[in-house]
Amino acid sequence: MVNSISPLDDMVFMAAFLDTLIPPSEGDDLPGAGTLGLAPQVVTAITSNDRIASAVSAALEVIQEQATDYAALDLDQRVAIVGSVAEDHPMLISSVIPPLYFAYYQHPTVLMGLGLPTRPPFPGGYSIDETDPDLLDLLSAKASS
Amino acid sequence: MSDDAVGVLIIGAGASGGAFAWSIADAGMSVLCLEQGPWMKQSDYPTNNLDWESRAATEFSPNPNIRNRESDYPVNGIGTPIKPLMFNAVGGSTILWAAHFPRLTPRDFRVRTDDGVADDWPIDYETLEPFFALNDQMMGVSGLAGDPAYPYHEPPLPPIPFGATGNVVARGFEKLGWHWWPSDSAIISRDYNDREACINLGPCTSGCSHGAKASTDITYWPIAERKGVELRTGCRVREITIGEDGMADGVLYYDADGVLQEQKAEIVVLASNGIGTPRLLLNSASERYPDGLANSSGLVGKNLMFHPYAQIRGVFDEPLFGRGPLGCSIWSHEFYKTDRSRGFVRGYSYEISRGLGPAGEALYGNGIGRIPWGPGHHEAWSEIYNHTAGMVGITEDLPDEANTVTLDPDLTDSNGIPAPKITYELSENSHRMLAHAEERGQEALRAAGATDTHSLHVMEQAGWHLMGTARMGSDPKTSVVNGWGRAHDVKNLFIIDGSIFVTSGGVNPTSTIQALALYVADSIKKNIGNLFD
Ligand SMILES: Cc1cc2nc3c(=O)[nH]c(=O)nc-3n(C[C@H](O)[C@H](O)[C@H](O)COP(=O)(O)OP(=O)(O)OC[C@H]3O[C@@H](n4cnc5c(N)ncnc54)[C@H](O)[C@@H]3O)c2cc1C
Repeated sequence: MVNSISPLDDMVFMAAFLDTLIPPSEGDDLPGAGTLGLAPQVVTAITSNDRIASAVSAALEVIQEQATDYAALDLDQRVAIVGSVAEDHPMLISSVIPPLYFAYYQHPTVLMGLGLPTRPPFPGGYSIDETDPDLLDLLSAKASS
Repeated sequence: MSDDAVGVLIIGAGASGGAFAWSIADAGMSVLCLEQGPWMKQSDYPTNNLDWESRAATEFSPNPNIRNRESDYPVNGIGTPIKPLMFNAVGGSTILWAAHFPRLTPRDFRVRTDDGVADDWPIDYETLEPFFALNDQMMGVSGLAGDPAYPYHEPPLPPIPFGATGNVVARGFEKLGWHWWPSDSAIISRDYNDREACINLGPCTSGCSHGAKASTDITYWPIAERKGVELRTGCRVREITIGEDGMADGVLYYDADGVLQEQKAEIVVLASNGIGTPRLLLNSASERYPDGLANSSGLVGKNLMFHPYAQIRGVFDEPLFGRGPLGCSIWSHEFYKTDRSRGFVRGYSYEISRGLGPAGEALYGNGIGRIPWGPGHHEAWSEIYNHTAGMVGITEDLPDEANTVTLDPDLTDSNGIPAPKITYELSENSHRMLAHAEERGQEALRAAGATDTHSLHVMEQAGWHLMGTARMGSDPKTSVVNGWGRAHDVKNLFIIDGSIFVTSGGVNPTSTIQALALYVADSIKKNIGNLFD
């Protein structure tokens, strides 16, 4: 059966696709990107550019043709299909990865799972290592006057 | 002149416009600056939000064609290996800059004399020295006196801490016996002039939410306005108008409501950057000046220089907490001077860059094939995040008349003004220099302990230095402005931005752009009695 809605509008399919690109971590500290609910955000970014949207959509349609119930497959099977489709459709990965990585690595759940602060850089800022005093000593020997 | 004529009209409120306005305010003339962009709010910058990395890549992208704000004009850079970058607002491109603050070196002003290529400047380092120093005070510069690559100068503030990244890479340079030194940075390492010291937010290049990074909207402009300079925002200049005597007599500009206005002036000063300035001069063609204003030499828009950047990064076993001012840590001039045995003329500097944010590192790791999609993604990410250090090789771009800013025949901005078109190719000399920078940079990172190194021959989104398109010189046949920024053809027209650079050096240009702007303002003040002779 041919799917009547565009793959970019099929959120169950998109969630499975994103879970393939970023699966859950082994210890389950980090959820898969689709399970995290990132599909709408990633689709919005993709569809903001017509050229990218049509290239990605065409590639996703091929995936759907190859596996009518893609979401029901296990991770290895989904990876194998995406890998083989991406060989003929290089824009599939290169166009989805940037908005996906931004969405994933800015999500509070992911930041928490990574042990990173779940706050923006400002106003807290960060502390950094002080300059190694031995290096400063070396410089004072070299300084011009 | 109409009744509302001003004494000095500046076009552009960026790095050069801000410095110039502050200085010329003392000349006793009325001063007006027209700026197409708005005032920015620190609370709008990406680092106020959790999604700072994606906002930095979109609405705060340094590429005006990606950012596409109302205040931006499109730039046709199709086919160029380096894309032009800028920001259009009060503060200009200093809103987004990394704030590296090297000066050109004394030898950079005499390239033909030393190396037989390009041209010498009509002025020298010594002439600019007092203006470099004054500008360092005004912007708030952190650094360490005594860099042997420069004549002695004392930055007003101590250096920005190297951080783990700087410490590690400095040890690598030491092992190889190479020159290195803490960067001069226009970021305050201590509280200074009502501004609070840097708190290491990280990505300086999407605007500093804390105000520790100098941008002229928070350094020069507040004082210039207190001195009486009027700054009108949302005003885009279409062309400079000419009186019957052939002198500039003002401008036509679109105000914030898109209504065409006329503004008369006794002196017109262009501070619109190395692309905006030639664009405006070419858009000011008239019956009297059919090839564009101040263009009897035919050099307006020619000799565009960018500084091709090589990028080198390494992955380290040890953790390197990479925050802190993105670009400002240490630099090296090891390969700055000509050594023809290397296969190229002139040279380059290295600047160390700290690590990226979680998404940036994921994208970087993916780009170099270290972070796969699918199984293994998370393990690979944790090997990269907080484990990278990098550097850029900033190569001297020699002037070439074939590299140009012209007017695009079709593309216009939102006011219908013809947009600039860039034609630019890398020279063989640049390719060789970039390859050298890649190779030796990887060597330095390996000496510092990197287990895996990668390089990019030339960074594409890196046309942040815009120079050479209205060059200085003593001879009106081979230059657009004289040694103090006055157009040879139009004696009440001055240019003070990066357009007037004769050569690019191999370091970031803004310290020198601003020193030149202060020098031109000073020259105008000193010559006020016979300015147009
Ligand atoms: C991401 C990034 C990083 C950078 N990092 C560094 C760095 O670390 N060190 C360094 O030295 N340099 C750096 N630069 C470059 C630096 O910002 C520029 O060299 C400097 O700002 C140029 O100053 P300017 O006065 O020539 O032009 P700008 O600062 O670009 O200002 C020009 C102004 O003119 C206005 N304008 C243009 N046309 C018109 C018109 N027709 N009407 C009205 N207004 C107009 C613009 O809106 C703009 O505000 C960086 C730039 C970018 C984008």
